[in-house]
Amino acid sequence: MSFEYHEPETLEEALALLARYRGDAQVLAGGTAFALMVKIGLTPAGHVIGLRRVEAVHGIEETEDGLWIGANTTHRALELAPELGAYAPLQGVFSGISTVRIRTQATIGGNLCQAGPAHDPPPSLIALGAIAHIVSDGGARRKLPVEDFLLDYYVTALEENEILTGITVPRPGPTTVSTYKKFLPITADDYAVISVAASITTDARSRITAASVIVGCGGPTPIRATEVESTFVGHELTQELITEASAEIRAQGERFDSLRTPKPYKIDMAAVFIKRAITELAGQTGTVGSAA
Amino acid sequence: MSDHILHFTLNGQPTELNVSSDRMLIDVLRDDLGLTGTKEGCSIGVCGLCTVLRDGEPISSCLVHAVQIDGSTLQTVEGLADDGELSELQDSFIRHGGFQCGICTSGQLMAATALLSNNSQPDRDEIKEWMMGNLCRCTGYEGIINAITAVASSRSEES
Repeated sequence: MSFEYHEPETLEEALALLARYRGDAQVLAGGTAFALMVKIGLTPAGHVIGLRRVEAVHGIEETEDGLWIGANTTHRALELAPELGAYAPLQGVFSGISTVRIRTQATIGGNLCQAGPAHDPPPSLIALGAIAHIVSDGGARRKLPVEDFLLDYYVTALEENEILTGITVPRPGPTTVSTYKKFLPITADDYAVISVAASITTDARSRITAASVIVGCGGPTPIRATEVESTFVGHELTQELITEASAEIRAQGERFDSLRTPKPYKIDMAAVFIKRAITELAGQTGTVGSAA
Repeated sequence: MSDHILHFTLNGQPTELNVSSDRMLIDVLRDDLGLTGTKEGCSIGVCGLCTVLRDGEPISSCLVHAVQIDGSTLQTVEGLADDGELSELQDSFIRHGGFQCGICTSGQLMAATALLSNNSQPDRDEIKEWMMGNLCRCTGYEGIINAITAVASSRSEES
């Protein structure tokens, strides 16, 4: 597995390398996925551009657009970052990834760019409306929602001459609560069987004004449970409504895949974990009640 | 393939090494530097046998390309004992039955060393959470947990 390794000092140098070796270059973040792919025989590009020295893709910083997280920030750094306290459920999302060794090496940017179907961060990032920031070798910048960045199994919207520099997470409003549920029946360091990220916003009369329910591990990319969401919006949360809305995943669940777990079980568990997630959020907003 | 001259600190010693881009850190440690204390188990970063510390934090040396550690501070199991005197943790592993065949022990020691520098007073749940990525087929883990707990306790008594 032969490649030339480059370790640029700046983003400009990294982009220049990407331009020079266009078509035969790839970017390297933490390297966990890269190492695994090399080990199973997937040939790397002729030129591998490591970003570990590039300051522009590191860092966690509050900005007016929300929280900026550089693409090369490790899961471990995010697990420990006090800045993430205001962005529930992210701290727990990152601390639940694999083992401490993987979290020390692997990065949020590498995670998003690898675009595996069972990754932990994407559902919550999508539920919170996170935005991916991209720069091309010509210097042009663009951004798009993480929801639109992930396209298919291991496929993203990144062009071959582009680098994901980081993400911004909009700051949740005071009446927004969010959670992440990871169904992990096997070993604690494994990927989820099914995962649910949910975010709800309520008004002064305890009605849901916005709901994001994102299911992970059900298909090539996280699935927005649109029928579940629309069942909630405009209503107060009751246990009956939560049960009814959670069952709405079944129609979308018919398009789940059976990777690692049979589809019927994934559908059943998606409904269970949506229910658990929303029930937990209802408890946080203090709005759970039964219809009279 | 490209060749690189790496400068890093290894078990406290400044080290310079020529490596090619395709070498994994574990192979460089074992084959080029003769430090065979680090073991290879699964080769895919799951079992923890290959755990070493980079800048004080645990990594799977089987998943890191050697070129990625230029400028870093590395510690392997060979670096735990001080001039032949076992570290507190190594001694505790002996006293508390923290190993049998020994194949996972290097990784256990490195992970535990990092744990205690991150959190000097971990409770049993915190120990299990941190150490869950270091598999052992022999001990059933109790001896390992007891060994770590004993060091944490002795440190709390000292303070």
